[in-house]
Amino acid sequence: MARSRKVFSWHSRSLWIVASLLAVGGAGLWLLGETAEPISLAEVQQAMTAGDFQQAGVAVRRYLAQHPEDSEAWLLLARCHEQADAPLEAAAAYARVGKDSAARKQAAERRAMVLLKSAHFDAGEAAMLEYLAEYPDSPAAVLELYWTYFVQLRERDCQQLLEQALASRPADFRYLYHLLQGSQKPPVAQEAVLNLERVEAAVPHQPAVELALGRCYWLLGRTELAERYLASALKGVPDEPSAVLAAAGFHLEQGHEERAAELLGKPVAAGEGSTEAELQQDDRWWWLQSQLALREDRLEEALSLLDEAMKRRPGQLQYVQSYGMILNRLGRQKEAAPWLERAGQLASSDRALYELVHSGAVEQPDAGTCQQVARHLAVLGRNRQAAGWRELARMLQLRGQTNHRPSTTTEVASERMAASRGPLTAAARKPS
Amino acid sequence: MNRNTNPTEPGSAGSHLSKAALQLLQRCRLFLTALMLCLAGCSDAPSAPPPGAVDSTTPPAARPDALPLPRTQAAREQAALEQASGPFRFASVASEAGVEFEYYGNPSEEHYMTEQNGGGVGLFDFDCDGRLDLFLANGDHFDRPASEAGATQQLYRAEADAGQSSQFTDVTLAAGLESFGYGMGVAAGDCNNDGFPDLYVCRYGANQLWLNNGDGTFSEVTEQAATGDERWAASAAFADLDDDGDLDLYVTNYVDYSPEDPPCYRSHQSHRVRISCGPIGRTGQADVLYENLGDGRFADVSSEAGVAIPVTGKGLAVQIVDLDQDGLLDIYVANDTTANFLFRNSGGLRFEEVARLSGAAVGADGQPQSSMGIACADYDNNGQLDLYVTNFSGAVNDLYSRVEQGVFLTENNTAGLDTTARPMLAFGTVFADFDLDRRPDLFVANGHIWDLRIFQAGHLYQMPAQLFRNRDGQRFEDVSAAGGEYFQKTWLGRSVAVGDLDNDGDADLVISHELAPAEILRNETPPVHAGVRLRLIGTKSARQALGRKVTWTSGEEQYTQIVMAGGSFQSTSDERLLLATGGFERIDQIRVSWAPGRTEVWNQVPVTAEIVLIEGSGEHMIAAPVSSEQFPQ
Repeated sequence: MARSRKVFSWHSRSLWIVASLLAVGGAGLWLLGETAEPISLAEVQQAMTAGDFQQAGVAVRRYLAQHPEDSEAWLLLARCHEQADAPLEAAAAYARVGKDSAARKQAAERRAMVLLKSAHFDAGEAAMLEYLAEYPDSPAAVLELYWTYFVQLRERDCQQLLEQALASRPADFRYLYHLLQGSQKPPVAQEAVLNLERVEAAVPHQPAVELALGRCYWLLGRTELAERYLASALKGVPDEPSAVLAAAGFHLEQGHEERAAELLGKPVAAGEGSTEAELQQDDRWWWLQSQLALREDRLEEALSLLDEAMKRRPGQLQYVQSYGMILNRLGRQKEAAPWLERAGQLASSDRALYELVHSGAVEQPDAGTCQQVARHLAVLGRNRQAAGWRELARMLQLRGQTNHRPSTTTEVASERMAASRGPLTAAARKPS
Repeated sequence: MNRNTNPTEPGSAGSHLSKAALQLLQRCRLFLTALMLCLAGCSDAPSAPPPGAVDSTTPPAARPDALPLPRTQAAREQAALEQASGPFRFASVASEAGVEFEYYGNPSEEHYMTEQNGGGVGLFDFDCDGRLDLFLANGDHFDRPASEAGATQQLYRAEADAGQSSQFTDVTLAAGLESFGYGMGVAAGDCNNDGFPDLYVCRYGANQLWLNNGDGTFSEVTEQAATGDERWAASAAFADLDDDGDLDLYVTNYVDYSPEDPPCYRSHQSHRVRISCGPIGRTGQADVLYENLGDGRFADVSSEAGVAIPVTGKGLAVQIVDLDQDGLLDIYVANDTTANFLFRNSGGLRFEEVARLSGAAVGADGQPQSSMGIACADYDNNGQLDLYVTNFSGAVNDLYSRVEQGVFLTENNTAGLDTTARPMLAFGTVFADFDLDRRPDLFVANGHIWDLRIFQAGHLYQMPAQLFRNRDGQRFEDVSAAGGEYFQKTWLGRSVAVGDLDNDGDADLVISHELAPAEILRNETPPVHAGVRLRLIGTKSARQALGRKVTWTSGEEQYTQIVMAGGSFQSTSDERLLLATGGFERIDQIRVSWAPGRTEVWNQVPVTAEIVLIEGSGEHMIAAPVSSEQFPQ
């Protein structure tokens, strides 16, 4: 009895399934019948030209239902989404443009741009890095990402990005100029924080933005907010070296040595790709470890940790100065003297660059100024930049001209700040 | 040099010492003899610590069992103990005390560079009545002369009795001090050893030396003394740098500037605002060292002495103190945008610049800072004098901690001073033990030089002043929030001087501002211990022991303090030391370094409100309490 009930039950279930399938199939056929009328991309473009992006969007969706792999259609759909202030949908559409498509480069760049301009900094940065990995020689993209880093007070990332970009364009004035400007005119925390707060309000909990806010509030002396944002960023990206290092630096400064030590962890023989291994590639990790050792009067250890930091970043003034100071503290004044003198030379060159930048001389540099900049950069061990300025000098000498500056750091930063208010300002979301 | 030309100068024999002391007492009508007071049983002992105050003869941080602890743990332990001392409290009393002074050379639409510094503050007892008087330098304007506005520098005479609220009367005219010009730094020092402190005013334009006539008036003797350097001077300090018994004078010069220089701007997108020019790109002006010739004249010995370092020096502040503990007074100069100087005194009025190698030239990041002010004290009680140097906003202020190895370490980060200092543009600063817990605390006056609010969101133009409590000799804590109404407001803070204005045994403050009147902050912090003033009178040495070190011991504890010579920014502070001796009936030992090889020791000195130590006498004296009846105007 029980068995027959089971069989009946199985039969009735099967019937239901078949009936459902028929119903869905029928509906599908009916729908297909309704949408079967072919749509051409020309019609879509026509609607777009007429400014009817809503109609264009509907049309291109229908088109894509029939031609889901058509890259050009995805491109058009992405543009419609952009027009409809739907940056995430636009980015998703741009991402569907095929690798073999002629529009691939444009789509990949646009995808990153639309995310960045709509304050989706984390996703935008990832998209832009993907784009640059595929198309490294893209000055506009490089500079876009540079500004993204700049407004987030990521000076180190700014520098790395532009230094890498110099590999393909060794004497590109834009790169050289912004590298110099950025090092001597860093972003202003008071200004950055207001805009970053707007970004945070519009697109909350982006680790990069939280990290930037944490650093801003730290610089502004507002420790509670700084701690909150740094912790939140760290929660979002616990393995991100810059988040770990910023939090550790913050806690060290607040006198929370144990917390800093906990964050920095211990030097371990970790596997490649692990957080520890990645951290240990970063000179700042060694620097912070040395500071921690100093706090605990482990002076010799602090020296060797600093040594490691300097191996990873030679010519860093702070490290050289600190090395000399620790030797002084150990009573080894004779050994300290050359380090402190070297620090003096580095400081002198850095000051000279500061004065050149602030005097406006590098806005439209002549060959002499370029040579001067190159000399000081060479002292500071920034050889790639130095070579670039030398090459620039040579070219200017040949041409007998001066170069004209790109937009200044502050100007563009402000524009970026304004643009980063995207979700709050419709105009900023319009594709250019 | 010929010291005999000064008729008031004491001789070197013991009889002459008594005579000198007597002469001083008669002239100042200030002191009673210690013997009289002791016989009469009229103990002038300081009042007992208030209820709830910690009365410990051994500060917790210095307990032998506390020393081996790692800093962090020690700090935590200290955090609990520190609750014992009350909050820092200061009352703003300038107005009720009769001081209503606003600097004339305030920032104007023309944004002249001379408008950045504000006016200096001088705290010194010009009439020797036992009360600190107040001098405020005044500014000028290239287009609207101060003389037309009647904006003179001002001298205020203190008139209140000991322990009472300060009362000041403007005596500028009566004192013959009416003068107009771009006044900045103020140095007070008894340069002719007559017992009455004289006055040197740094200016943009010729500086002025005013001789105290001892009758309540001053005479300008700049020309006779040959001290009228015409470059832009910011700060100055008197001290006996060649140990010949009279005070020499060090003047920091800033940069080359003319009001006709092209104006400076800051631009931002479509905005462009005019600002006062900064020192970048300007030629630094070498400092001046004047040797006191002892006959009323000074000689510019800057080059021979090795302190005239042109171009690199853009000096804004100076502190004279024996940093390397060899008995010779060294000179520390805070430079704006260039490395600071430490001129090590080699003797014979020769100096060697050793700042970089000794670790006190630049910040921890190796960069020269835009340094503005200097505070000096042994904050960590290791017997070595430390320096705190204030800098521009965006950079931290530097705490140069001197260690036994004879070098300075930048300890501001470890000391917890970075986070709250970074957003501030700091000028005047002083170390003072505000709560009398035997650890020097820190006051910093802040305020930007440029108003960029029009295009820089969040820009701080006026800034709050800051007060840092020295928690354990290792870490400071920002206690500004509870410091009183003054700390709730924002200012363009500039010069700061510290001293016991109301003679109640604690450290009060005077701060000059721009675009706001000068303020007097009366210290109302509940003291942990009672404070005792200590005054030194030199006989073989210069009468004022400016820059000299005093070490005092009670029980197993030893403390090092200095008589201020310069320091802060453009200011002169009280020459008397405040010793937090409460709880002790006697100070076991006071050791005064008068000069190289001339250290004098006083043992078992009874604790009174004010102690006077006269060089070579071996005796201490007790100053009588100040009374207006006793010293009618």
